[in-house]
Amino acid sequence: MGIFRRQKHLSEEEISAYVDNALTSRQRQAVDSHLRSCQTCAQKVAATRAMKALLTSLPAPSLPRAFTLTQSDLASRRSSAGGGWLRPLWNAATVVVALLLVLLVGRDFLPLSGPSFSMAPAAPVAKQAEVIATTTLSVPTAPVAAVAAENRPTPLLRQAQSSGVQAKGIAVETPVVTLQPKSQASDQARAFASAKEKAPLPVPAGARQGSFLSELWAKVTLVLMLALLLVSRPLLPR
Amino acid sequence: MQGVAQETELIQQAQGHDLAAFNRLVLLYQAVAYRVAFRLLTDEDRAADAVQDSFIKAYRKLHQYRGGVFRSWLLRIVTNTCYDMLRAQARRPAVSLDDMAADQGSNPWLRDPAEGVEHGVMRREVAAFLQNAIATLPAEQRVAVVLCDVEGLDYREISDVTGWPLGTVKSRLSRGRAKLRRYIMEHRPELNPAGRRLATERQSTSR
Repeated sequence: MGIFRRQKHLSEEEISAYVDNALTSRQRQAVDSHLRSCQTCAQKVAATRAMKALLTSLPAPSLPRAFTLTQSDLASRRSSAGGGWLRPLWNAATVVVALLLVLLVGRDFLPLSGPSFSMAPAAPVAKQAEVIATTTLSVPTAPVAAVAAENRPTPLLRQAQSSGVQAKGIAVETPVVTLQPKSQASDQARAFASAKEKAPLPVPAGARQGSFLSELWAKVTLVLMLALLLVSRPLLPR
Repeated sequence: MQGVAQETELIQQAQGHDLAAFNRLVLLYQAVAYRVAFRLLTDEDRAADAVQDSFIKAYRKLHQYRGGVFRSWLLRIVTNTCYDMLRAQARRPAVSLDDMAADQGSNPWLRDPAEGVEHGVMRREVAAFLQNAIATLPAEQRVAVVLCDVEGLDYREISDVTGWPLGTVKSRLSRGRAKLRRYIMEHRPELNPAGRRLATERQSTSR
């Protein structure tokens, strides 16, 4: 009894519960006795009660239509919800393409001598990269993936793909550049590396020009792919 | 009660993918679902979208319903859907209160043909004011006030709908009410005679 007899004003929670008749009889008596001596709290209680009455008597909004469902409501919803898987795939494809582009362009500015690029795992990883790249890209961008496939024989792109996959594995950070002993490099990689390093031996000028052209072609393709991925993103179903 | 038995039967049929049975449940609960959605979102179209979405979700989740008050189970889906929409709205640029007030003025639901013109205009305007006042509350307090004061749910049922413990229900409700009371007192003291007395007394005591 003594707990609730005090000069202190009622808390909002007490007022609220009092108005809702949600106090125990003992609490209620204590509040009643406080209200008899405190005008401020009495008026807060009256104001809360009046407000509750106002809100209770708010006119109900009329229904705009019936909300009964049809099979097509459920079907259309399912297909749009099913489109959700496309979004992460799109994001992954965008990251991969952007990385490839960065690698390809950045390579021109890096003062690298041939074999310092990680070429060693080229053969096995490149295969894996192809698998991942094609599975990632083939579904949403079948035509673009076909263009990418055209470029696949280019060792450069293959190298970029393999590095791209490595980089993807450790999130979007700087491209992985590792030093590999030449002995571990695959034959194909060594051939390409040495061609790049000295450009001496029996690499004909036409072949070098060809690799320059295919590199340019790869860059253009990647830029187009990136643009396509970015532009089409807002069109994906939510 | 026959109503409850009938409802249980409808739920069981709907759980067996009987869409017609589910639609009879929709007809029973669409009014309360729309009222709650509208009070939380303050927008007819968005409320209608929320209700539509909620019923689709309810149909899909019906196998998860394990007895209890079906209305609470359904309102939980409705309030969660509205929550998501409010959160999404908070991320976008907000609609100003004046815009909402202007929209409210033309809301057809506020017209009551049974009332005289002058009385009708008055009620429409007051209802629009109160709805805007509710819209100033933070989402949780808004849910508590709408479910308790507008819909007349008791604390236990609010707790079932929201998943909040009883103490949380009480504190959010009381904070929402206090805020709303101050808002009304500040903007429309004549709506609350008890509040006006409180306001004048405050002024005289502060002098």
